[in-house]
Order: sequence, then C-alpha cells, then structure tokens
Amino acid sequence: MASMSYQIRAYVGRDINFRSDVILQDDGQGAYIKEWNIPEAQPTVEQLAGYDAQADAIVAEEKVIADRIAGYGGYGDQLDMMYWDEVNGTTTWKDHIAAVKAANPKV
Amino acid sequence: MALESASFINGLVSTNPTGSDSISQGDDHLRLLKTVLKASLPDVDQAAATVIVKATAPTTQVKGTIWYDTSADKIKINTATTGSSPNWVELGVGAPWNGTAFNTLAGSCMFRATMSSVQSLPNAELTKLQFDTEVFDIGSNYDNATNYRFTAPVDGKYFFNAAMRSSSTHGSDDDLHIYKDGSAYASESQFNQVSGPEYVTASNTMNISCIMNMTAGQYAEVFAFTEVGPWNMSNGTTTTFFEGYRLA
Repeated sequence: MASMSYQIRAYVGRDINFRSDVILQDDGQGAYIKEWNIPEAQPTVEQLAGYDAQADAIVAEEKVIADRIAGYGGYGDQLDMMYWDEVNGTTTWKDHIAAVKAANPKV
Repeated sequence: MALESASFINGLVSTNPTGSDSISQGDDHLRLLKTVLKASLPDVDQAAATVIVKATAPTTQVKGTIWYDTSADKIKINTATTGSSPNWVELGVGAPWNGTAFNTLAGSCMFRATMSSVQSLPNAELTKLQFDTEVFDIGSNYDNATNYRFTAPVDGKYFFNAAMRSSSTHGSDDDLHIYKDGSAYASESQFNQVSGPEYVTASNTMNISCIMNMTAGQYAEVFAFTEVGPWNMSNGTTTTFFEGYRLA
C-alpha cells in the first residue's frame, strides 16, 4: 500500500506541498492528516484507500525518473561525453542516454 | 578488673565495670571516658550543633544545627545566633535523594537518548523520532518506551539539542524539528538539488538546538520530515540523538 502522501496526491490529482498545503504527521501510531489547507474536501482514511492503485502508479513513475537521473550520470561526465563526440564525430552520449531510457521505460 | 582499652567511643564496653570490680578502679574508668570523649569530639569548644531528623522544627537554639525535615525531605540549617530563635534555611531547595525536589535544581535534570535501531522516514510525513535508548536520564523525565519525549518536571528554561543523520543516499529536502506540546518550536530545513547526481546528498547530518520556556508537564519531542522518502536514518550514537537539560 502506498503511503498517505501518495494517496493524497492521487486523490487531488496534482502535486501537493506537504509543508503547507497538507501536513501529515505520525506520532508513532501511523500517519494522519494534521492540517488540510487546500480547497478540496478533506478525505477520510477509507476514501484515500480507494486511491491506492493510482498512488502506486505515481510511486512507479517517480521511481523511473529517479532511476533515469541516476543512470544518466553526473553533468561533468555527460559534458565530457559530448565534447569527445564533437571531437571524434561519435554518438556516445546520445547512445548512453537512449540506453538509460530504454532500460527504464515510463509506465 | 574489667577495664577495656579504647581510643574512641565505639571501643567502649558498656558492661564495664562489672559489679564485682573494686571501687578503687573507678578513677581508671573516668579517665578512660574523658580520654575517649576528647579524642572522638576534638573540635567541640562550644555547645555542639547536631543533626536532628524529624518532621517538626526542633527547638534547639544552637547555630549550625542541621535539621532533616522528614515531612518535606529537605535539609535545613539554623543560621541564627546561638541562644536566639532558630532561623531554618533550606540547603539548596531539596535533598538530592528526593526525585521531585532534585529536579527543581537547575542542571539537575538532564538526559541523552539514542536509537537502538534504524528508523525509516516515510515520504512527506512529519514523523516522531523514536529515541529509545537512554545514555543517561537524571531525574527520570525522558520517556524512552512509549512517547519518546522529555516532560518538564518544574517550570523553567530548558535547553534541547537533536541531530539526525541519514544512512541511505537521498537527494530530498528534509526538515528536523524540536516540538513543544505537539507543535514545532525550532526547525531546520535542508534543501537539496534533486535534478543531478552532483547535488544529491549522501548521508547528510542535520542538527537543531533551542532554549525552551516550559511549565511543569509540558513536553519536548523530535520530528523529522523528508520530501522524498522513504529513507533510513542512521542509528549511530554520535550522529542521531536527542538530549537536553534544565538551564534555570
């Protein structure tokens, strides 16, 4: 089951600022909504559970993005690849990026 | 004939002299008593102050008399001139063996707590950090089993310090808070660039301190928040901890 923050993002259908829009807190007995400061009606825990599948999809999408960022490598390494591609007329950088995208397809 | 050899009071034999001893030996016993008394109480050159243990104020009029007031578990001393009405002054405020009274002394309640195991910080949820291992807890005001909080024993100013270190690489924005009675009182935020590995922080440490004005019964806790979780915090005893003490 996805965490409550992802369930809420699925429920409202957009990104949420969890420092101000909605504040979730866990005192040791599980997360609960401490503050709800957006126009949408505050959902119940049961309502949020109904958005679990969509929440899991958001988690999966974010994992793909994170994995791609990690796979691309640092800016320095990528710029170095581009430089040598220019010098040598190769496509190392473009091939590398394509390989990372292929290995981490969007869901 | 029974005349003991004693240097101090505890060497005296209370059954001497026996009923059958000769009267002529009486002076030997008197000299022994004087010798033992002078040796045991060498500095008594005036009416001696004493330690009195009872629940009501003694009527003694000797300056320096110490009274352990059993009704309040407090030590008091008579500072009035010998012969005058007693003036009982409390030494400090309380006796150190009395937990509640001891806590009223500045610096007499202090604690440090660490984590026995790694705690996971979930995504975008203010999460109470569970410092479950007490390094020390003078005054027994820190709860390391249920609520993981310090509760002020008396009104006063208290200092708190908390630190948190991640054990897993992450590049999210994180917050560390010290809470007072369920609301943030002091906060630190750390913002990390997440769009490139160069800026992704690995095992960062956050630290927050504050001085809190508390009334008896108010409590302090530590909460943390991560914008992109979950990730695990380290349970290293030098990098993840909660500590505090009473200043005044």
